Amino acid sequence: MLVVRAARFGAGAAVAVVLFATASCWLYALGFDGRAVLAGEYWRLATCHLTHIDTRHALMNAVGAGLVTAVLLEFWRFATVFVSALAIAAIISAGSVLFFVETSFAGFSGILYGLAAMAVFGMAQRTPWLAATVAIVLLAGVVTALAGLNRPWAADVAVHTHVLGIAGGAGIGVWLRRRSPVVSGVDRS
Amino acid sequence: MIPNTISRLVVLTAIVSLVGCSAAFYGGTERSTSSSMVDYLYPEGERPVVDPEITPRLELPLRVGIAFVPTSDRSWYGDIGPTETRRIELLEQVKAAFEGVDYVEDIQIVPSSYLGSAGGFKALEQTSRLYDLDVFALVSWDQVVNTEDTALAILYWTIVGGYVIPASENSVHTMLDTAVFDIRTRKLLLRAPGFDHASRPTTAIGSEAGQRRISDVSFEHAIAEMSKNLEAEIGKFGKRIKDDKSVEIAYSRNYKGSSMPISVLIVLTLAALFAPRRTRRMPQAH
Repeated sequence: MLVVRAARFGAGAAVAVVLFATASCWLYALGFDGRAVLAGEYWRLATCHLTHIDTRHALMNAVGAGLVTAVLLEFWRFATVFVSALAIAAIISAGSVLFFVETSFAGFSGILYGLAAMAVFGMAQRTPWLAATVAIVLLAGVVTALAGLNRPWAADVAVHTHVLGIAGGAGIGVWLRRRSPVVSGVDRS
Repeated sequence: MIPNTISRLVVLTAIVSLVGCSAAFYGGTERSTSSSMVDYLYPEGERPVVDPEITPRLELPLRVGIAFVPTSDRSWYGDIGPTETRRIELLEQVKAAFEGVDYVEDIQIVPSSYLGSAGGFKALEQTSRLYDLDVFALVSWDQVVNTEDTALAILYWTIVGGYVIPASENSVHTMLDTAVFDIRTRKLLLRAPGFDHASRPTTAIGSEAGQRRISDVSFEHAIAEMSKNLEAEIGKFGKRIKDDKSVEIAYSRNYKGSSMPISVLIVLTLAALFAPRRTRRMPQAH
């Protein structure tokens, strides 16, 4: 079981590293810039999530991407996870244009927060303690960032992407559970 | 009569020569070398103006320049201070203190000749523009080398003793100090000192070379100590500017980063390790 998860983690992190490294070469052309988006540079709505400010920023998020991939594939198929990630990205981008147009940002962690929120709903049935821990830490991450306590050196934190991501991921998690409740270890299909 | 006079002259010459030798060998000397931070930054005798209202504004990540404060005074018997090449070698150790610091992007070693002999913050600002620097770490020093002859120096009278008897005690006191300034506001951000004291005996003939060697080794030891202190001060400074408002932090890039704190990564690792095994979707009952 752990070998499979490790393989998923490795694959997810590796793909993320390649995507982030490539996109980050054109940070100023691909990052989120609300004014540029309104002026017609719509590609930024999609590419902003892949661009990163520096190597450390990209590596941290690549590790996060590998970890959520390993967890989420225990509960949902790859296609479901992939489409969910796209939906969360769309929510963050739309929310940023509508409410935070002046805030330029770059980074994948809004989506990661959303996918982690989805994982909370996946784990809630069998390991509620783990689901609660993840939920508390995610919310604590947002609160500490809002309070300015979690302050990296490369750039200020785009907290609104985390809030939008959690909202989107939680919504998708609830919807998926209602649509197809999960039963542990038994394949009844 | 004449032979008697000649023999007197020979004896007199011998006595004068021996006294000359002993005068050449005996006695203490003191050599010093220094560069003053204050003299360099305030060359016209200006008084440093400290305005508490001005808060340094650092745009992160920082570009740091490191240089020895230039010195213009040279003693007639030769300067024992480090040469420019040696200074750059020594500054590599100071550079190491800044490497790996999160908020430092680039560290440049600047030769003293680039700082200008006229000095002042204006010269520093010009050099900073040239190198595109945000803060400057200036290293000043003060070193005194004393040479005292011990009781064994009496053997220098034998001439041979001057070559083989290590009766000259060289002692050195070195003080180095790094002060890091914000170029825009000219404010001192942090400082770290380094000290060294050493002594080593040499022969009278080897005294000159011995002084240079002990001076150089002492510089190296003082730089090593200063680099350790600097590393600690940089760590404290990093915490301080996060906690208080003594320095305003800005980011030179306009983008905000959407990044995960380490706590979230840890809890996701826990989830990856302890999440329940693969579960299957149960089809909806029709």
